[in-house]
Amino acid sequence: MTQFHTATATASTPVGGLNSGLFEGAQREIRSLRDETIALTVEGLNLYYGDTPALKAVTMQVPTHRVTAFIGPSGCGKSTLLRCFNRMNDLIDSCRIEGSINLKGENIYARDADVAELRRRIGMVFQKPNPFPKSIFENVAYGLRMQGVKDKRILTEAVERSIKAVGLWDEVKDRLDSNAFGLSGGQQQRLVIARAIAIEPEVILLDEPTSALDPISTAKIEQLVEQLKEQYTILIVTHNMAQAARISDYTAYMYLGELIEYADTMHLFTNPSKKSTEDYITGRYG
Amino acid sequence: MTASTEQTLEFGSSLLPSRERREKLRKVRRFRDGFSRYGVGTAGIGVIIALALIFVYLFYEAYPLLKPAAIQVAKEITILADEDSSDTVHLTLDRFETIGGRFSSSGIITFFDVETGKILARENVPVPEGETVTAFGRSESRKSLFVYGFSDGSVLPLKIDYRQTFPQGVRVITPTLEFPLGDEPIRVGGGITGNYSALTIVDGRGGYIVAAGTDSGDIAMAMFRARRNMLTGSVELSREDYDLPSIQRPVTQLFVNESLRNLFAIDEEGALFNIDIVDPKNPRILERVDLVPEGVSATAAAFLVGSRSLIVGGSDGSLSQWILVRNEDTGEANLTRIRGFRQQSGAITFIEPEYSRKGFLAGDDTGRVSLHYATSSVTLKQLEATAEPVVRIAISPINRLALVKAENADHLQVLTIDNPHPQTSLSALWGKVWYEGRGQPEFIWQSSSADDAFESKFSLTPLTIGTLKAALFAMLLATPLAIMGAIYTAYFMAKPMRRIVKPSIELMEALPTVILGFLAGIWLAPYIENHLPIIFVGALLIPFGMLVAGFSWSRLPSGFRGIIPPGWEAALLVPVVIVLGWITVESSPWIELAFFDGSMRQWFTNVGIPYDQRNALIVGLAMGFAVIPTIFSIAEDAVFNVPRHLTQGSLALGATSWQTVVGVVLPTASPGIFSAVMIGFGRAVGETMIVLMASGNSPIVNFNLFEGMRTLAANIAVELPETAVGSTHFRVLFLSALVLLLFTFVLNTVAEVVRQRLRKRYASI
Repeated sequence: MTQFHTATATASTPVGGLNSGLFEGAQREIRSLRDETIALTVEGLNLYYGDTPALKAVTMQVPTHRVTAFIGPSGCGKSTLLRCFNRMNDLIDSCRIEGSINLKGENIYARDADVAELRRRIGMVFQKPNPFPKSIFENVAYGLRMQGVKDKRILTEAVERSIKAVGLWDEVKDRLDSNAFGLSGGQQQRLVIARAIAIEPEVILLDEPTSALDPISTAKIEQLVEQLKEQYTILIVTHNMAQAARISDYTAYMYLGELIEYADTMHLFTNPSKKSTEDYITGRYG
Repeated sequence: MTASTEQTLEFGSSLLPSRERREKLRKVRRFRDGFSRYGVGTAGIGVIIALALIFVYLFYEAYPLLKPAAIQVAKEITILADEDSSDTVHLTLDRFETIGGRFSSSGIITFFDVETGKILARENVPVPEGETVTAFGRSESRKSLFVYGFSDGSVLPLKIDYRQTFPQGVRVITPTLEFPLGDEPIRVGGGITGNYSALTIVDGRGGYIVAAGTDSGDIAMAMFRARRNMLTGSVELSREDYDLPSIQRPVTQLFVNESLRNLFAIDEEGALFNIDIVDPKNPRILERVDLVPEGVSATAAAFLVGSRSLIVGGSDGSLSQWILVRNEDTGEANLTRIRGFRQQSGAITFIEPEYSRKGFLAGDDTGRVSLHYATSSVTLKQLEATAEPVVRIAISPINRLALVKAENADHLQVLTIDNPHPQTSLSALWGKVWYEGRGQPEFIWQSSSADDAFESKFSLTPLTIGTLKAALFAMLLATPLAIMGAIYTAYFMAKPMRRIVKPSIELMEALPTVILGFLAGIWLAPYIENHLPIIFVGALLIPFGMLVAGFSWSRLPSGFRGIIPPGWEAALLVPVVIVLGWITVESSPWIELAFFDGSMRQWFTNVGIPYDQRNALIVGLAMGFAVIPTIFSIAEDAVFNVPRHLTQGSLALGATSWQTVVGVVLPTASPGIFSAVMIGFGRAVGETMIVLMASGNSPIVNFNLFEGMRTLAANIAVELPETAVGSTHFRVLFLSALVLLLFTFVLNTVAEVVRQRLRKRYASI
């Protein structure tokens, strides 16, 4: 099913095809998964809600320190797939999973896998900002406290470092003790990202992180994702194709629970190999 | 359906209804909006008004308790054409407050109309030929017994009776003079000579006593024992005379209490000699008590109704109350001062007790008359009745009218008194009060008794403590169980199981509390009493056993654990609890045999732990059971409604389920859990039937788990049906209802304020 493109092309010599406008001025080569270090390997993943299949035989590899975007129409299973990476689907009673996902060679669905530790290694940010009803400081310190850190100095250091990493420090440094609900939506979302990186994960899952935000906040988050991929492997689900084109290195297009096409972002948007992908990215879909 | 009525729609024409119809619809909608807004508003305000009205009504019924007493001079009357110019030795008033009586030192009793002063009747005491009246004594006012002493040393007891007849349907009261102990003057005692300086008569338990004292300190008494002839019904009196030990100083006042056990002789300086006359053949002076300080004399004294306490007035205007208090060490009853009253400005000249309760009027030599009440130790009112010293006071048996005679006055003052509820004061309702016949000040609720001279004990403290005690023990059981259960049900339990468990627990709330109370009082209380180890073993074994079972389950191989789907583990505990419960019940007799000589209940008594069959433990179990569904239901909703994105956010940060509960779920649900607990507490405070049936209703003040209590609510339920409407008792019950309402009102308000603050802090998006 999955296509691994080997074609090489540069934006300066555009492939000419579809959506080339999205990549105007971009100076990069078409990447290939073969050249990447692989963080996550999905093999034959089937997921059922009760008897209804939601994911069908998904097989893919996610590269380290890259942004991988999942696009597709509503209900295509992209969020479901994302939630398989940190086993959030376990919380749904009727959910049943077959297949495997390997994180650096360990099957996260192994019987003796420690789910809490897995979720520390694979952080997640949700569609709606979900800070806890606590202070800004306590929100960021939460994950570390759950890891048993009690030393106030370590917590302070980690909180400062994480908030600085998401560029929120100057905005909140004077009111770390005030309730996180006092922040704007965009600030809250960055706080939640700070909270996620405070426990030093390897992978960060972003589930439509900007869909509830205004354009300026969206831009800040996108910029942040750009920086974060230096240290983390990032998987992002988005409805916004332009966003996927702007920030991701690889894009997976899903439809009705199947992974239709998975390739370098620029390649997928300009030269989709499937009719279905082309219909979707050109807006002809439904 | 018919094709002919089908309209053809022109393309491009509007499908909306016509302008007029829309206009009309707009009006209808505006009307409906207004109606619903004002309708809902009115209903809401109506609820508040209804609540306010309940407050107002309860306050309205309790308010007369707070109203101060009023006493004033209504008029002055002169007994018309009174030829008897000799001194007044006593005044009386009848029950209908129409007839006054004046006893004179010449032995004439003049009855007059209180309205007009017209003389109605005149009775002559048969003074022996050639003798004069030298002394006068009386019993407690309500017995209407008097005794005249004559210059030949003889005395004549007499009684005034007011006969009612209804000629032509009009009530006519005829005062009559009776001689219950014979109409011949008698000599009291054997060898006493000299004139009597003090006389008293008492109609007590088992007979009459007439006692007399002289200036030289000699005291003698005649005891009349009444024996009823069973065949004829006639009463035969037998008389015995006794000489009592001399007190070696002039006797000014004499008192014998109704139990006929003590005779109190008071001298001029205020020294009281307490003479034991239980065995009149061997009388002895028990003690000498100084009623007033050095340099002050006791100028007046009187028994309060029931003759259990003596009110003593001093020349310095002081008033004090004395009762016999049993000394635990010596076993003897000593006369003890239990309280003082507000000092009057002049020497006390006369004390007139009320007929049916523990109040009295005191007059002093500056012409002031004041109204006091013993139990509440208040001076209700002071009145400058005259400018002259007060000589005599009479109060009517219904406490609403009084006559005052001042020195050198040829008229009487008629006082009207409005004093319906003197028993209650802040200190009498809430503080410790030293009641008659008790060893020390105490909190007691005892509202009524068969005795006429009963001192009502209206302390709300035992009831309030009882209410708190019952609620506390119920909450001690219910709160942990309900909250833990709520957390488990809402957060960990499998959804299908939750759908069974939650409604089942909520159904418990529908159980009528009268059935719970009935079961607790009739079945559980005696059962627990006979199987006490169940409580202790159960409280240890069942929680511990459940923990062990849970731990063992978590250690089982995961393949084996897979049999039970996640969230259904709690079902496994059901057999565990049943087995543990069975072990607890079965082991009870063996434990009693092994450690408590066969009966733990008896062992409790032996080691000195008081145990009532119906006690706080039973109430705690039954009421705890009743409160659990309330707390559970609200707390479960609160936990269940913690937004999913918060729990997921926590889990996604690598927190375990338990960490998520403690770190995110509980803080977020805390406003709801808090209000659940407070509503549960409010329910426990107001609960009536269970405490009524299972608490034993003894109004005691302690927090012993094995003793009962009486709560405010149960007390109202028990006593309101049998109290007289408008009485002090009735109004105190309304006051206690007001206290109860305030209690729950304050509780709920505090709960709501705290909840709002918590909710602000843990507001979720």
